[in-house]
Amino acid sequence: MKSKKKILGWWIGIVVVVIAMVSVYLCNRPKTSTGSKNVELEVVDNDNNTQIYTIHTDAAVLTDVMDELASAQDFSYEGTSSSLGYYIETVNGVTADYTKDGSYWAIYVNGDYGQYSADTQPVNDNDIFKLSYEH
Amino acid sequence: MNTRPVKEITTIAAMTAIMEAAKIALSFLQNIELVSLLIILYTLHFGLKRTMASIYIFDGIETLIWGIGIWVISYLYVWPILSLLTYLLRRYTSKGPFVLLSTLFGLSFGALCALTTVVIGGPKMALSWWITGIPYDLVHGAGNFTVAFLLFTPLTKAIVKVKEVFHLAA
Repeated sequence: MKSKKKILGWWIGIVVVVIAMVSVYLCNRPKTSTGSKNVELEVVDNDNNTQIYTIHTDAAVLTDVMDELASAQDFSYEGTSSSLGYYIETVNGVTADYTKDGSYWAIYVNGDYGQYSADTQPVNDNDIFKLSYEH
Repeated sequence: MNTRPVKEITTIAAMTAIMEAAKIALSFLQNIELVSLLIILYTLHFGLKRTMASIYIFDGIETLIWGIGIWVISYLYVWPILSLLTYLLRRYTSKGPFVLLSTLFGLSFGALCALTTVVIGGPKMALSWWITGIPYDLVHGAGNFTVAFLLFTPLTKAIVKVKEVFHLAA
């Protein structure tokens, strides 16, 4: 009986944990703005060649911008989705293989190292994104 | 001839193979997995040592399949923590505490893995990484609850039967 009460207490604890997690997420999740935005995407490849794209978009997240650029301009990318988010593997035909040589495509947002994966990175008006080949 | 080492190696190999097969079979469902429940059942019925051996071989196989990433470091301590917690709860005979443990483990999976990112990018990066993954942790927790609630008893019976047939000690 005592043990059952203890278990029930733990389940109530789990419900509290779930509520806390949902609250933390809702208060801190990436915020996006809707409407027309001017966005710049800079690509720096493995030879330090830089290509700058500008777009007028309603995209909410970075992958939306990349999809729009891929269909409208001379831009292409590939990657894989996982529970950790979208992982960019190839940009404009240049593949970064971390398992081979430690290289990867880094995301910079307005000069700072990005805190989110490309599919959760919010897009706001006048944002400047950079995809940089690094290792 | 002492056949015990052969039996031990075969048992651990079979435990690992089942774990890997279960992982791959459900890989199309993001964060729904049987590995947590298997680790709990293995610890209860095959003991801590065999389970730890099985976990680290599993980690090795996962690395061979998916390549090296930050998650490899996380896997080295996340699954053993689950096994250790199960070991501490081993006196319980009902499924309730273990369904609870599995659920809690699923919910805290992201937070546990985020410990690796504290070392790499600092607490701010770890916190941001954990928050981004909260929806996945909630799915993981719900999945672990469902899987453990439905399968704990039937899998326990199956393991007990296997142990009887092959004369395996705990």
